[in-house]
Amino acid sequence: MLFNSYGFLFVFLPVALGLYWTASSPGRRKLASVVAAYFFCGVVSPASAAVMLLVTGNSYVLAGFVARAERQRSRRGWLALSVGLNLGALALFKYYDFLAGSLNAAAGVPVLPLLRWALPIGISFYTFEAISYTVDVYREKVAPAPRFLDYAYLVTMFPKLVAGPIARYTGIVGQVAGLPRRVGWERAAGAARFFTLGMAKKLLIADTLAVRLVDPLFAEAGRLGFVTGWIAALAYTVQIYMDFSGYSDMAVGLGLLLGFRLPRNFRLPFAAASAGEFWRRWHITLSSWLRDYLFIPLGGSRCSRGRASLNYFVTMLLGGLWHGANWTFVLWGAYHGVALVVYHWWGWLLAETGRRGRGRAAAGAGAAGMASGTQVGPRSAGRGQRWLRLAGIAVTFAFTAAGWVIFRAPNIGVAASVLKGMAGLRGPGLNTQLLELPPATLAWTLALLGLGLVIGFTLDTWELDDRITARPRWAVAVALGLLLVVCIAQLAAPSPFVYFRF
Amino acid sequence: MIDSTAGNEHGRHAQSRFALTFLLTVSLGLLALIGFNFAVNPFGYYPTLLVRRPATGQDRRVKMDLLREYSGVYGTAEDRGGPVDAIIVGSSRVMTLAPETLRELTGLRTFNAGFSDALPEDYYAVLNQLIRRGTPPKEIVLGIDIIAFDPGPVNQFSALTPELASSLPRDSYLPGLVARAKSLLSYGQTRRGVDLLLQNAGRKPPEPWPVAFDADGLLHYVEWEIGIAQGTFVPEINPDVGGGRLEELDDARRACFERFLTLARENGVRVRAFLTPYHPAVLAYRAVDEVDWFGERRAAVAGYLQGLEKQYPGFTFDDFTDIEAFGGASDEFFDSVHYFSSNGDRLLAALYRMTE
Repeated sequence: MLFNSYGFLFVFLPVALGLYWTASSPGRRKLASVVAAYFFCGVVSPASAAVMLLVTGNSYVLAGFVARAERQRSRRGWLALSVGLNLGALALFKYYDFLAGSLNAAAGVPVLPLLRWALPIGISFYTFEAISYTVDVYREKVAPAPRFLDYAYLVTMFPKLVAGPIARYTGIVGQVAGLPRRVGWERAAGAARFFTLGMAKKLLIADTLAVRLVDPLFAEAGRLGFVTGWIAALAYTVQIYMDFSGYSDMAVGLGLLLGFRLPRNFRLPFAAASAGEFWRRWHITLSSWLRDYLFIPLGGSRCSRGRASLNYFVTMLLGGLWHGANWTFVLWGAYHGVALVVYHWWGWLLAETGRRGRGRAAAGAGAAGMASGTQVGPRSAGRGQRWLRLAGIAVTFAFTAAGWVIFRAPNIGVAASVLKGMAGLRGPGLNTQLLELPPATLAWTLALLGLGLVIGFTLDTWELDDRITARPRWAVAVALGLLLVVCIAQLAAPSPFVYFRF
Repeated sequence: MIDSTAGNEHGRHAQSRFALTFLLTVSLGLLALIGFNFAVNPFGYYPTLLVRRPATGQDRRVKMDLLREYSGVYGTAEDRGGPVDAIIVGSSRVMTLAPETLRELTGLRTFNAGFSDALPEDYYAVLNQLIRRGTPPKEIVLGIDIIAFDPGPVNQFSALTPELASSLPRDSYLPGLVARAKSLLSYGQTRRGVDLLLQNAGRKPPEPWPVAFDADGLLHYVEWEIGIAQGTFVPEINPDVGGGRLEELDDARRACFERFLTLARENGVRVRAFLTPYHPAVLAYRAVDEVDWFGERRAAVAGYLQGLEKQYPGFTFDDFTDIEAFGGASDEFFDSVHYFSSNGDRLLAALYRMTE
């Protein structure tokens, strides 16, 4: 079920919230939330709900065994079993056909049969949450949930079920004790802001760019030149940001309606000045999950430079593969992996030559890498450093935009074709007639692309929300209300969120 | 994010005012949208008749008006009066089949009741509508697209056209109602409604419609036909059409089609069906596909329809996907699937030659 659908807005949401907030006890409230989540998932695909039950069920039971086991070896064994089962489910449903198909193609004969099973909704997200829960219980960061209901309540919460943010059990369990008895006006106002702004990003910007620019231009990949190639890349960069951050904003708004504050997933990613900083601003809950449960267990950065480089590369490669079973995602992960390795070698090199401070500014961000969180902002830098940072932002933006071409393309051939156009190898590419748009519509759509870029560089929903919260004016409430009406009027042809398929 | 004013009475009050203003705005905005769409009713989805509509817009609405007039329900003209004996049913791919040709072939008074994207539920609705009027046809010429049995929701265009909505199969009623309710909030309808008001006020010229209909429902592609007359027409052949892989024919659509055949049999209506033709370039393009999805799909639909011939006396079927099957001309196509009336004449002649 899509957030941007009549069924969700006018039937599911009022009923689910009604049951949730009128429940007579905390236990019944949890039950209402879990039932709503299973209905939310099962109404689209009952098999998806069954898979979700298996994944959450095994991680709850096995985390209990981990906590109760006395010997370290047993604890490790239960942990390995739980992680193995969850990753196995992910591998079976998401990657098996891809691997079997690739193997069959390489062998030239069918070696393995294809299953052609539909990808269970949200499996990539709740599987990661389930793994982090079991690992955190193993690490004794959190006590195991007393009842399955307590666990399922937090892992299967419907606002974040299908496309995140990846809210770990450990991160939100503390909010349960402080849950209010009523939703409250403050939360309702926050929910209205986040949900409306997210929906506007998705429906008014992302979908328009997708239909008018991205899809037609990628369909003509072989005819793109420099200008049309870059329009395609920039339009998709804005589309995916508006789509995914819009979804995340809507999820945060819906989380508030359930009384929870879900974690932040984006922080002006277009303004990143290095590959490392990009991953501290883009899909934050995934990159921090990869850091804590993959990169650090692999050895992190506190080891030899060669080993650390391998860790960065492997983390990004698997992060790319997490997005989907296709060689384009593998290539996209490798692309970012190489960038992170180069970025960190650059940092180490500058540190060695005693110019670390200047070097960090030159690279445009904290050289400590993915794990450090250190940032160099324009205010803390001198004029020269500010220009260097701006140069870093421009280079990083162009680099990530080119990366999104690989991500969007249906195969590596199409990606190469678009990149060839962007490189100017097919001439200036002023052939905007490929879009078959009347001049006025083209101008309007390009203006929308420009607006999307401005928003992506400067306007963060969370900061905007803070500003509105500090001075909640009625005119802003009216404007947001009208914006939601405009969005609802656009629901006639709902389009799926890009991240739903992951 | 929400705690900056929490714990402060003034702040809480401000937040509650904000939330209430927002809710009030959304409620009033939605009510205004619903009220406007219902009152102006630009596509004729509702019974409202406050604003005059031109005879353009969605073709089902126009076809139903034409059929009413042609079959003399309102007794508008003597020479038009009287029920129709035969109807042509199907998607836009049958809309250039000339009723006059069928009349010459059979002597039956014919109306072309084809409309865009018609699916089995639409075939049923048209026949049911005529039966409910007490004027069932003797004969139906039915063009079936090979995508007609794909899974999908009930065709909402028919669900949104009052006469057809009331004649759809019973299990389509609820989806139809939902479609009409949803359309009350549709921006597309609002935009069209504003245009309509501006046109009625003389502030905007009526939008040219690229098609026109004869009184008997025959479609004319106005711009293309002008191009043909002037010698400037270039056919728009896109070989990449025909649908993707089809796992299996949809059960609901098959059931609906069989209910249509049952309804026809019970009312003594003969149904001559055919698979609608493609331009030869499409078949040539598909023939080099690594996996012949088009061929698989065509064979599945044709096999299913041939099986029904034995079960439903009075139902016959021919596969005209390939124009050679009816002696069609490849240079008489507007695009990959829409053909000139002259090709349609050959198709009708072959259909009656083969099934007599």
